[in-house]
Amino acid sequence: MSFRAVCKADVVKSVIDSLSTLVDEAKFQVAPEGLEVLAVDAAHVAMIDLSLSKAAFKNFEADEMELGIDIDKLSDAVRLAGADDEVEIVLEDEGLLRLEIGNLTRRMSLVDTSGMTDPKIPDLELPAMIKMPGAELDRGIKAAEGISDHVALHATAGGFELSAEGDMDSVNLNLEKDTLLEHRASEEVRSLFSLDYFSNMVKVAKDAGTVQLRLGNDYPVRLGFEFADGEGEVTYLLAPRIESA
Amino acid sequence: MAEADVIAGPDPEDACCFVREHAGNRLLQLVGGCTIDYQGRAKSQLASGERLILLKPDGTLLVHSDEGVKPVNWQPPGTTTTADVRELDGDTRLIVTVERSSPDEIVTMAFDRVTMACAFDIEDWEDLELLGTEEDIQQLLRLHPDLVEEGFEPYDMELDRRRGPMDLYGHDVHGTRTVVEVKRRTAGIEEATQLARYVERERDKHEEVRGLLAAPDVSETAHKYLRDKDLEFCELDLDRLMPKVPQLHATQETLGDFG
Repeated sequence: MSFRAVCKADVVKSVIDSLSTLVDEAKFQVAPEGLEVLAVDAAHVAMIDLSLSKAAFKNFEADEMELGIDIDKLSDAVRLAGADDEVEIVLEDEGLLRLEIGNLTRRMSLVDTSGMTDPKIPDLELPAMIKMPGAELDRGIKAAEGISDHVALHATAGGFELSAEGDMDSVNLNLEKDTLLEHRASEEVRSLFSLDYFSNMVKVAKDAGTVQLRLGNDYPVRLGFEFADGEGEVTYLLAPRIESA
Repeated sequence: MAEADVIAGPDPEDACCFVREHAGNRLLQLVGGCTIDYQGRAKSQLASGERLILLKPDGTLLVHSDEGVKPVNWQPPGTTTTADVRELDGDTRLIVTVERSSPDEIVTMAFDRVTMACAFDIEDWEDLELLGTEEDIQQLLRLHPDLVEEGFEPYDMELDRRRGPMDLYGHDVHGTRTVVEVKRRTAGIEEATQLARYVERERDKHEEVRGLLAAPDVSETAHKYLRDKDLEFCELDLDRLMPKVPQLHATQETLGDFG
């Protein structure tokens, strides 16, 4: 069983940033074509589906396998690398991963994956679809912080709205249909989310040129974006908060 | 959910305060020996007997004896209740009067003895949804303490379990220890005295302690009592607060809930 990958440090950092919002360790499904990570947070409120094609790597040679990786350790290992520095990751014997960044070598033990479940991605009908620049969504989130613990995402035929209501203040980011990169909302939908969870996801997506949101009524939201020059893809799924009154 | 305040065997003055406090606000039950005098379209008098009197917040009066289905006397919604203490036949008695106009009717109940007085909050389900429970308001105020007062900072209640009915405990903008009692309906003498007791206890241990009674409204007697005891009333704008309540009940779902 062999695995050897060489890529720019910023690709590894993107993977780490995307995963660390939800989990401390994850099961990487590795195959000759690339890798995929499917993980759910401990509260089972949010999920990530991350895929990275071999094309994102300078070199990628892999047999089909599962690698349990401690995300914190991985983060620590690439902490000192500059975005453009080359990182080489090699599987040494069973259970040990070697990372080489310039003259720095770090070995870390793999995590036992036998205890890790394979999360099931719920099959959801999310009728509304919005595409906007990551920076715009980030703007809305930044405005909502400090106003409330919740953020409402609302899609109508006219556009998309992100709002947060506090005791005294409220904030509203309104994006008309023609200002959006893409918009599809045959019916009006609205769902409420924990700002904590949602803002962590948006922070990771904010540098993406395009972020796609799929929305339903009191349904989870799907937030998707690309990285590594389009060779990597992240899809987050976040369960809503439902108002009982 | 019903909360009840009960006093057993009160003397006429206490019973009088109790009725004044709760009539028009809560469901009031009085059990005692009384005479009933009715004047209006007719006149009638009932000799002293043990009766159960029900007075609803909307003014409906029902007087029941210990027999039969029908009340021995009743009044529809829209009445006004007054309570007084008067000397009658050498005894101090509680006099409760329930009256209305068009037609002009007045029912006077003179108690020689009050066995029990009880006041309930019986909330309509709809009522609850519209107004929120006391816990909701408390939680809201804990999340947005500026609604109590600018600069109020509640302490972490986990650390202060012994607080009892003190709803919020913290310090004000000047760092002075502040105790807040929260009520979602008009606050009365009951809450004011409760607050006074807790502030008293705190004043034994700390130099300066402020007591705040936070409610949408406060009764005259309670307000006067607060001023006398160097305590304060803080008006809660429920119309502004209540729209926030649904979001407190916004439960976080899990992805598993969606298949």
